[in-house]
Amino acid sequence: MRNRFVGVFIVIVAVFVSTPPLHAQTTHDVSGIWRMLAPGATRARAASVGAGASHPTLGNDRPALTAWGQMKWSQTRSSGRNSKLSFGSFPNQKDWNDPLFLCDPAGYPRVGGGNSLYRFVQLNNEVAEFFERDRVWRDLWMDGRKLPGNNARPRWYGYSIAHWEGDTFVVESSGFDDRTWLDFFGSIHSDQMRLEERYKVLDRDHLEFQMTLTDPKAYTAPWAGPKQLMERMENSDGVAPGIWGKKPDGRPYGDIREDYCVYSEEHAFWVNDDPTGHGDNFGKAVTGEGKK
Amino acid sequence: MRIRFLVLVTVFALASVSFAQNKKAFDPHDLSGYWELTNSGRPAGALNTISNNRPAMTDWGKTVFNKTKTGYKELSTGVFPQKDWNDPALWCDPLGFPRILWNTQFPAMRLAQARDEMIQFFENGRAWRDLWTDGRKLPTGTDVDPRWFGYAVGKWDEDTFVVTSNNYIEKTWLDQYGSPHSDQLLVEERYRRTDRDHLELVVSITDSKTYTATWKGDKRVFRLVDKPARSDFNDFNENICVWSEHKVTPKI
Repeated sequence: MRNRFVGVFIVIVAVFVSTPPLHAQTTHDVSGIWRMLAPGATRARAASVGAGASHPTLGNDRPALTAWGQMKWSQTRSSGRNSKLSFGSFPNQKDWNDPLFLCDPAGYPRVGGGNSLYRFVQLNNEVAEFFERDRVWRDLWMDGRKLPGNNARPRWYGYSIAHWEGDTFVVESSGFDDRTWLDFFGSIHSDQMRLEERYKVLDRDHLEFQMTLTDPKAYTAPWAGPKQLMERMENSDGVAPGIWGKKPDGRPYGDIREDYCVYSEEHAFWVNDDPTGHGDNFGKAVTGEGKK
Repeated sequence: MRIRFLVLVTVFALASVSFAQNKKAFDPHDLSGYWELTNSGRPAGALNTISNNRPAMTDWGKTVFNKTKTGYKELSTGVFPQKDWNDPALWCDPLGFPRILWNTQFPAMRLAQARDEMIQFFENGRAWRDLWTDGRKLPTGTDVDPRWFGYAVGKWDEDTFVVTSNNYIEKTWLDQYGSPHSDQLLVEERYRRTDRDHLELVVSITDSKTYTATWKGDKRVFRLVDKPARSDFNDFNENICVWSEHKVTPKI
């Protein structure tokens, strides 16, 4: 009887060990290259039609601005027309003052725009988050440190800490430089902005993302974005296929592209190829410089 | 009584030795941590570059080099007034590698071991490099987009971590003196942790389109620090060169 029990036990253990796990990734691991899908895109849709990369968004239901926020927003001149999120419509390119056109750092969450993929890497005391755009990273510290106080030097990408709540990876951030826009419509924020990002692990290949902004200096209420699906990529589609070869199991070696916004290149573009003919005058609204 | 005393002395001595060993114990294959570049062991007059012994340039190299204008007399094309300087760093082009190593204002790097790679973070420019250790080979061929920080793979040669890299954008300078390179640049870095607190690095570059011989670097020494000296949050501050804060018109 005892031998039979031992035998059954060994068989169970052998089956358990030899069977590949349904999801090789543990639920407490977000490592990998990820593509953010537009709100509403589903796994089935992503698989069938290859939904393109989107960006982390707070959506269109922006709360009312405070007086300070209204004043700051009124100074924006975005290229994103026909949206209630933009402060007016500015068809004339020379008026635009989107800081990205001068290659200011995009900041978070805007760095996720422009088809920029993410890569999470688990390190011993943090999750490092890498972006294609601007080739920057964020440290999502998990070593017990607390977010710095209000006197912290503002950063383009803020200060971040992270923890797990069940199967959800939660990132909290503060200390942002208030020069960045949240989106290309010109949604603003202050240095009091706090962000909470939640990445729920659905399975090995999918995360559910949602972000909430709280910024009482700029907005009268928290701004909660829609849920968005993130899907795992073996490799960035911005890296030429096959350049790194294939792993022994036939899958490609993963990598994300280097996508710096370099002013000297953007400058040349605006000088030489500006379809409006404003050329070097572009950027006047941002920098205060006149035409040379 | 005397025996008891001897036993106590022996125990104390062994404990001291053990403590000292633990204090200095290190794994030569673990390069993790924040490392600050020092001037330890450098020859007098050593410049902020690979070494002072830059090889002769090819005709192509001379053509590119002769267009550079800096305010330095060493290794440069001459001392030019500031209005003529055309160092791409002035208008916030990415510094590229290996120039980012020689920055004296933000001289630290962080190495972190991940599953498939060693990640090299720089205090300057919020830049990082993937030093892949998962068996992949350096990419070659015309499909490869050149990068400011190239493509890199790493492997262990006994206790030395050897990194090779290629496919660099040739717009970057190798140093502040205007030393040029081509898209044929191949960089080899050899990192060796000599004790718990010190890391040696020798950089050599081979670029037959630009130089007539390999440019072998001086041995550079990094010192382990608990955190960067210029830290607000026990991490690297953001030291990003932002064009709109400087507004230097590119001279290209």
